[in-house]
Amino acid sequence: MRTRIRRDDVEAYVMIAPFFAFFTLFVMVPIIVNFVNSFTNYDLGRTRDFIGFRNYVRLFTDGDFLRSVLNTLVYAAFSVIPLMVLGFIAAVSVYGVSRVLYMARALYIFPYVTSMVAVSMIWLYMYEPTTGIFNKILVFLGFKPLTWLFDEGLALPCLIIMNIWKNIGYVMIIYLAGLAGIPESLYEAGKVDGASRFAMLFKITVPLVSPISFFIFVTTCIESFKTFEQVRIMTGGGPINSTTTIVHQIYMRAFGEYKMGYASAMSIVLLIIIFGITLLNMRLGEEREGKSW
Amino acid sequence: MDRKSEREPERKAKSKPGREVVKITGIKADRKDAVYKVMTWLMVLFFTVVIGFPFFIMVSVSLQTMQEIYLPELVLFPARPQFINYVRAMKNGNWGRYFFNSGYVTLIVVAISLFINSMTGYAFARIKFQGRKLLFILLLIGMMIPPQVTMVPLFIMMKSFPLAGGNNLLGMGGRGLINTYAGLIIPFIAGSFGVFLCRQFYLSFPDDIDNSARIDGCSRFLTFTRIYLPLSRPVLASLGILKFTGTWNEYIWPLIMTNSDSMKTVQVALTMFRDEAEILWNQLMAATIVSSLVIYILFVCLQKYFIAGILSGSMKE
Amino acid sequence: METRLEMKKVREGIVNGIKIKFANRLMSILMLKKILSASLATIMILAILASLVVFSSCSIISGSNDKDEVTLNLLRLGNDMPEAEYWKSLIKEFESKNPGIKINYDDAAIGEPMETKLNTLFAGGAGPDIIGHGIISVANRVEAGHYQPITDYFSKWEGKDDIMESVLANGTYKGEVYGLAYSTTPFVFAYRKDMFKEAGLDPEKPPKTWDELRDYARLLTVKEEDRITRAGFAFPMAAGNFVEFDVFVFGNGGRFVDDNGMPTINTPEKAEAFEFLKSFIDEVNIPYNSNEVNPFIKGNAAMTLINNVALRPMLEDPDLKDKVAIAVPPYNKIKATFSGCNMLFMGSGCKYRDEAWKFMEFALTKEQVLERSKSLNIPITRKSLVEEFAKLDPYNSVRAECVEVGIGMPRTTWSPRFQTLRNEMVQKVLYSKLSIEEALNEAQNKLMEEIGQ
Repeated sequence: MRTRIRRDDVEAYVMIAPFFAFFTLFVMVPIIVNFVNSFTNYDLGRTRDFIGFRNYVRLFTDGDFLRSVLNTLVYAAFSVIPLMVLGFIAAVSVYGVSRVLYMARALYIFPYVTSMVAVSMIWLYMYEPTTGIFNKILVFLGFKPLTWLFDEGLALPCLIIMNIWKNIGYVMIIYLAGLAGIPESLYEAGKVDGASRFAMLFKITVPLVSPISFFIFVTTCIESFKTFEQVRIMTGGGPINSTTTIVHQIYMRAFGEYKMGYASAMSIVLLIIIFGITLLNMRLGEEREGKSW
Repeated sequence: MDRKSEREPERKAKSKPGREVVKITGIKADRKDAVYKVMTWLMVLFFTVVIGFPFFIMVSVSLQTMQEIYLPELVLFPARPQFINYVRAMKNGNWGRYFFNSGYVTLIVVAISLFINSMTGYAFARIKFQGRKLLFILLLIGMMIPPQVTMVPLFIMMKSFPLAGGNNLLGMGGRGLINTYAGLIIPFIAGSFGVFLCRQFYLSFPDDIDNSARIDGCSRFLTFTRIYLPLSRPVLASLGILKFTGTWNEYIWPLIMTNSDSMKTVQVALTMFRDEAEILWNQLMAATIVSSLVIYILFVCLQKYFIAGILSGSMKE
Repeated sequence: METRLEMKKVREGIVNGIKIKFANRLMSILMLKKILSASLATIMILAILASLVVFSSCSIISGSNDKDEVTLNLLRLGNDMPEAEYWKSLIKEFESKNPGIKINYDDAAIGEPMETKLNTLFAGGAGPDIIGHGIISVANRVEAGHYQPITDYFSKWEGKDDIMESVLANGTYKGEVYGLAYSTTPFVFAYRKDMFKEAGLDPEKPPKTWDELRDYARLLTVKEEDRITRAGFAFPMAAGNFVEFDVFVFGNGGRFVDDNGMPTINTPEKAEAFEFLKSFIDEVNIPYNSNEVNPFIKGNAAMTLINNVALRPMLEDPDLKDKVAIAVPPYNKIKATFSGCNMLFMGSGCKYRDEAWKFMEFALTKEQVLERSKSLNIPITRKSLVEEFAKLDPYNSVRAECVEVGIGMPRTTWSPRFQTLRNEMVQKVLYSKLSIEEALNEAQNKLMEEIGQ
């Protein structure tokens, strides 16, 4: 038995070696450097002195940063769950052989494959207070027009809606792969037992795609926490920091104000938050399925 | 965990035939299925409208004149579609070159990642080797740090890549991989996203596959290449699309790594349409549509793999 | 009762299961077996080696190894096509006149892309040899060692007495010359003559004072029920850099920095500017983000403050001929406006200083300054060209005046932070989040805190 395990181990190491060579060098080393930077006052130039935990201490009195943490949490919470639900519904709805479904799939993937710059532009165009389509609809329905991205309370929801819209295609694609992996025989067996399609959806499909759901949860969560591009293009973090995110703050501090050390500390805090959420989800997933590890 | 997971299927098995099969007659189940069908079609309609409308606006804008775009009234159908916008957009700058650069980089990244990611994912999912949990956590951490803070160290590494671009063995003296394809490709291969996806996918494979392969004396590597890879079409198709999209749409890294027009990628070139003076909405949208078209075509080609399960099922009938 | 007990047992069982599993997991993570530790050790060694290489390579000087031909890298702020075309043709001309020097042209979009790129390049020791950048970069980049002084070349330059003093000052820091301007971007007051006529105003007499601006703006606003469909005066509600507010501060005799380089935000001039804006802006404005398109460009506004170059497409539009005009912005105490300035700097890593200077000199000759104002509407930076410039275009005298009275961003190491805080402050007042006094004090205190650190 021992030798069996050992042989397995060696084979596994050989199989993961090519990837880990790249990963260690080009992902882990920069992360380690970043970690070291977080204890310095690195300014992207000459200065790089060790200053202990000063950056971290300062973070907790930095109102802008604390606001960005709150915004990011709200953004992630209201993005991830609707994304997963809608993406799953979309995948189930378009999973089938038909010309219409074929075209529907190609359409749904469009927001995801289009670059964020172009997508942001389109939504800016639609949120526009005077000529935008949303206000036209509101006025048509007899409501008062809104200022959307210029409204402190609405700006973040506006970004969230766009984010959901953009990433439904991503969730759908992965769920489609998951659905394709479920043997058809299971459904046939279900049919023989007389189970309805709804029942089979919840009793067969949902449990069987749960490793995929875990993957989607973790990746959409990470992506939501790392939101930056749309904030930069659409609101610049405003009005009054109501849409600033952690990575937006990181960006502003690092490249706008030359405070790389401080920004590195922010990124470590971000890492801790995402990591905590992922770990929690892993534990829960394990309790439910026992397999997502 | 053992206790619970044992109980789970049991309960499922009980509840399904117990509550539904016995009580529901065939006719009722059929009616329910009809409701299900109607609902899925309603969802298709819903998503088509919600997702399609902004897309429609995008196409519409790409065919308008700037005057139409600036009109206070929303124009959905341009008076005279300006297909010339596409021609103009593609004439601004050396687009053939940009497409080649993006395509070359993306194809290599996708090809290499598909193989090493699925192999690594397989090892993580199906082999219980020592330290896999720790290594898996490392993988996840690799995805959690925003690129904005690792960009600088990564750039320094690329610049001091030994024996490249005039560098000596210690990576000094030259410009390393700056402004080279390798500099654009390497960081994307290192991303752990694909490993994670493949791992999750392989987790749901039945254990019998590995066991019978083991009995046949197959090594793990052979099990992977002979048995798992042929069954991986759906996940490889998804990973291919996702990786392709991610690499193709990357903006900041190519912006930093390249310093000449001949190495520019599509995404870097797209920002040309937006400057201090004005945003050339129509040309920007036209160029974006052309750029996304590449991924569309790929998706259409790969579509059949997404529904591989259905097809194989229907073939059996 | 019994079932409840059973339930409890099950729950306890699950909880215990979780505990045991958690402990097992921790153990298995902590107790690394030999193979794992060996492979980890290799990975660590690799990592350490790599990072050693990284750290030791920070100060490498970039450049071509070829002795006969010198290649210089140029990175310019802004990637709009007309100006990029201009620089490419300029480089072609330069290269044909100076065989042996090659200029590698590159650019990045204004704002985040440029900052990210330049900072990463410098941090990696691969900074460009010649950089085209704005005022706000001066202090920080000099302090960070990104730019090198060019005072020695400047003192021998034929144009040193010809360059406008206000423009020259933009590139000077702590007594040394670092950058020389190739373009100025003053904010001008733009208005629609046709809309003036419609509202019964004299299209040749744009508002000169704050009061006039307010009255005109109210007259020119068009409403549909409660909804403003045309702004009388368009003022941004979001911005990457709220210089539109600075225009009012400067016009009220205020500045953001004192002679000792300390911030002066909470002074009466700013409070008055805010009070003035608050007194009417909600009645006449269509909100926009200054990073996006100004409603004026779309024809949805009668008056606005706008970057001179942003007006170019509008002024060139044949349909709008004689409908758009520009003027010096209305002011309260002092005629003033905001004026940005882009300059050529020499990177600290530049090995071929003589060659780099040769190019900078070439780009700043009178012919090139005139060429830029002809093809790109960029105001001139040399005094001897004032008259010639005025003849080129009827509005050039207005542009020249705006450059003359133009004030730029503070040249201090805290400028980037100032920009963020000022933007936040303006929004807080415009959105009535804080009173004017509170907002001014908050910005001042935050900035002082920053400087103290």
